[in-house]
Amino acid sequence: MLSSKTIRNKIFSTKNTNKITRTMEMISISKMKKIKKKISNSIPYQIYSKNIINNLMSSSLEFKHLYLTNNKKINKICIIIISTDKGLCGSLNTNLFRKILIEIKKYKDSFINLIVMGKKGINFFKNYYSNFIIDSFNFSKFSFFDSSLKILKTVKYLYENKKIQKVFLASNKSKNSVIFKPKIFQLLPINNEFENKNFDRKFLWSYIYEPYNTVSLSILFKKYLESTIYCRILENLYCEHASRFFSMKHASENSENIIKNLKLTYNKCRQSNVTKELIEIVSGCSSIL
Amino acid sequence: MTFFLNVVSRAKHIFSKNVIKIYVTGLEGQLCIYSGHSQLLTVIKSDPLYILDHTKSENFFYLSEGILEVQPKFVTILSDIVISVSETSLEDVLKNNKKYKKIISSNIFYKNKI
Repeated sequence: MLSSKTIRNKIFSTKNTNKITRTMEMISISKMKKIKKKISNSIPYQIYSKNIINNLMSSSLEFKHLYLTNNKKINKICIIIISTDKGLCGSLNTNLFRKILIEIKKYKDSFINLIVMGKKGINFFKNYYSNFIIDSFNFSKFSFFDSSLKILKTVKYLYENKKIQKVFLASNKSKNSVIFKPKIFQLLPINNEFENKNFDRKFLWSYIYEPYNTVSLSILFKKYLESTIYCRILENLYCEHASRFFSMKHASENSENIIKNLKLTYNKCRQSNVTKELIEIVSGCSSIL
Repeated sequence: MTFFLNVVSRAKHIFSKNVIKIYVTGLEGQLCIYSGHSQLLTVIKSDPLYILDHTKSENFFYLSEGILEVQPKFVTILSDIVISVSETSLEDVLKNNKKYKKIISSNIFYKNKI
């Protein structure tokens, strides 16, 4: 049996851990609220840019932009991985990496490029696919919007020089504040997302482009891609904090249970010591008498 | 005759109302858009936006670079930064002169990226 001093120390350290987890829980809640506000503010821009592309697809496009052309044979792909910088967020990263590994296996015959964001992702993919990584950075160096611009710059360069034919974006998406699912979504070429919609092609019309169709479309697509990546980064961050909040909540509940059990053991130990001392006193007295 | 106008910035959904006409500056020059305008997709320059809404009240905004989509019944303006003139007073502008200059000059950053 443990000594009462050891148990007391254990209770003290568990209480300290409990304090830390409680604080982390609080921090996660406040950050979640902030990020949710940011997401709800940035979503209209993405939705309206998406709507413009939708309208563009329903018109008679005389000019096929590079971002809309689908290659039949795909042998060079790029996956943008948005992971987290910090741990303690449950199985959020593990589930995402598992899904990415399945995707990589699907394209095992093709040349794969990885752009990894977040320390956890960098550490994981450096171990397995270090030769696939073309760019990696963590969020501490750049702001979220700057990181989306940085990714886009790399992807644009690779895609326009035909070094990659398809770009995927892998990140976590929240179904609600409890369920998070890893999702891999095709970023480029763009039309895959929109082409399935049934447009009424009876009355085709066309846009007047100013200054030229190439310039207008490339700026529109650039804005759309920027906002999409930015929203995904924010959503992944929201998932991270929500997941951390739940894991910290569980951790603090568990620590409270441990403290309860340790206190019980401590009391038992103390009680047994008192009983032992009483017996000793009583037996000593009886021997004298 | 009115049409529906949406002005969206990166940070906010700024304006969403039925309007009579708008003045906005595109890359090729100033545009005056009424209801029933033919479909147009253009890049807009950093310049003021004038809106005459259905109650005939005038609204002024400062737009940074963005995209303008015109459909006969609705118009969408996507701009990186939108500053509402009604929300800012002359005193405020003079006071936060440096801040606004910084916001406007940050557009150059986007321009270089295109």
